[in-house]
Amino acid sequence: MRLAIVGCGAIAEAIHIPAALQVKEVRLVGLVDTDVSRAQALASRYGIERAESGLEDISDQVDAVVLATPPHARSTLAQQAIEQGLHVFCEKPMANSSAECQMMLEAAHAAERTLAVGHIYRFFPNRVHIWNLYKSGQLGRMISVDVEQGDPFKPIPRTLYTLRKEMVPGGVLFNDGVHVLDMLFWWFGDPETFDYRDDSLGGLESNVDLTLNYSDGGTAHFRLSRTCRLSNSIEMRFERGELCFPIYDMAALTLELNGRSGQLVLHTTAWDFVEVAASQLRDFALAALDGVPPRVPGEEGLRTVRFVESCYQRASRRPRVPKAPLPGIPW
Amino acid sequence: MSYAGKTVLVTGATGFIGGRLAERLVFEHGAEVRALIRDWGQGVWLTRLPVTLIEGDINHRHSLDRAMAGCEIVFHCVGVGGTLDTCLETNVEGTRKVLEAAEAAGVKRVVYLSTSAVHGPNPPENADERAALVRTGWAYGDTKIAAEELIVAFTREHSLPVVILRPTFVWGPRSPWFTVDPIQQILRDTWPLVDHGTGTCHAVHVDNLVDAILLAGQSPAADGQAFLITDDQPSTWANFFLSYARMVGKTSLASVSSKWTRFYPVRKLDQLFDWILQLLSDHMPDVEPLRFSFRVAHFAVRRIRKVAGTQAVFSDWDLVKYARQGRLNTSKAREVLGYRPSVSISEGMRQTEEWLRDQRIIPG
Repeated sequence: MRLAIVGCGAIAEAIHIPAALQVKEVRLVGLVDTDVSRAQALASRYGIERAESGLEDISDQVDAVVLATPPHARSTLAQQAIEQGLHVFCEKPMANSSAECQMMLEAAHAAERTLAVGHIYRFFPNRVHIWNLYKSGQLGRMISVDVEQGDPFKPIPRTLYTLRKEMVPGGVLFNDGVHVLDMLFWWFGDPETFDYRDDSLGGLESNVDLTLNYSDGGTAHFRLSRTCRLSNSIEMRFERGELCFPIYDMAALTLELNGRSGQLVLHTTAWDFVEVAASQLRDFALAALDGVPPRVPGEEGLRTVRFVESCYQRASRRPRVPKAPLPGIPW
Repeated sequence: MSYAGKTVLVTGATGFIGGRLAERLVFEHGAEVRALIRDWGQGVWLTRLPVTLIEGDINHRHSLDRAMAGCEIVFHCVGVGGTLDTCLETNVEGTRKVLEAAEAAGVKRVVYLSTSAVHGPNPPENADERAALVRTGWAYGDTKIAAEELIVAFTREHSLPVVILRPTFVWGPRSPWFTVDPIQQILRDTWPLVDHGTGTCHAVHVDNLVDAILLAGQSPAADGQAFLITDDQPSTWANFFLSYARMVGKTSLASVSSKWTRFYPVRKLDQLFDWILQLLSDHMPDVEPLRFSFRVAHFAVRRIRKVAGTQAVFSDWDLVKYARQGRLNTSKAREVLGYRPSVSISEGMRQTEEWLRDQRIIPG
């Protein structure tokens, strides 16, 4: 499958280009960026044939695209690609609004093209292992999940859009929290109710406190920050076991099941993001070639974006206090 | 005069004081706030607000002109420490550019955030704004004096009204020097009291200072004048820092003498390191491999200084400051600005503890 990567920012350089070069089912033939000199520099470095400034310059030369642009550009580009008969792999969050996601999905369905979303946690071996344990019933009912994700924001020049209200609908939940949200939806489905707080004062939130309440009594608590360092860990309690793992580790898992505890390191080879991204891209390529659903279809991207919108709507209904609240979310 | 709908510029809005000022201008007063942003890594507090962000800094006149076009009031909260060159460039020359740009843009008032440090570490009993400005060789304090003198000279020749505020030690959520750093050092047992904390603590909670800044921006009677700003609840440094200690489960702090003869050699070593670092910075050659060698030496000295733990040791200035006993007179701020500190030390400590726990600076 001939592939182009659209958007040559940090994520394309660090992940998508090296991953595409590892996947034998795809041939990376082109890079596209509005800053064509950036595309040319990367193409030259990796020996990629084409470097273009627009999707239309290359769409007749490829079968699929990876959209690694900022999210505000994805819906238009995805629809353009699909109209030209291309399959689309879209970075997360899928788009800036659920309405945009919906349009992308409708276009993909109408053209019978594959639309996959880059919720990469579904390819991490430790998370897949937990999913299999949970799905098989070995863990029993989920009682509680506690997720903490936070580090002081580190600016990378080409990703500063995450701080620009005119380019993104939200802050840390929209840009960083969607991986965890997708993971929770994947494992436990939609919550019955939720409580949401953030520290936005009309701009982009930097701290979030979210609790998801499930119909069977389980709860998931998610604390997220881009101002402070949190434990960056996930702890889970089930009827028959407990487990925990570092959020950015894709192989380690500490598990206590039926009274027996131990530490697992899944797979003996070193797993890194590029290798996992290659699995993700291979899944997309096979889905497109075989006409089967990818592991993370567009509907899942829509679900996460829609939930984030619900959180922001909830926050907008918060009673206004007379004095500017403290920074952070102690209020 | 109200701030509602008025366009104002806050310099230093990504920082601690400017950031809180921006929050309150937007949230409580409905002002249209503009902010210069230089370091996006520091921008994640500011981007919580619907402010207009303009890339640039006060050392670039072009970005100042863009930021000030159509502005009524400029709150100039930028101030840096460090080497003399850095302080001169930002605190003095940057302030000059702010004044020139404000004059050119037809700004109606500039509020300049100076510091009580212009009076030295040990101002006389009941000192007010008329107390002498004391140069001590400390780059930050000396360049803040130079900036004030620049403002006085500038306003003599131009019609731009400028108000100068001289806050004491600003504390509260996000305060790097009087909240976060002491707390972190208390956690590591490297923060002693000076003379058992018997010195007089004239700190100012950030929200009290912001009250004063907001009043200064609205008070024509304040134009051309300077104001000392404190919490007006003088306490002792023991009370102040033991409040922090209690937040982390400690009931006492070690004490050092303001004479501190025991650590005198360490402090002198610290000064020697500073001198070497300054020397290496000032004489950085242009040619390689000499330049590389100097940079390696600079890095090595910084590492040695850090490993030696000498940064925890108070400077001579700090020892005098923490040992000082005596009042400061802030009646002018009360009379002219109508300043009344609204956040008590106990309420401020409660808020600050909540924030420190939320941000995991102290264990939740």
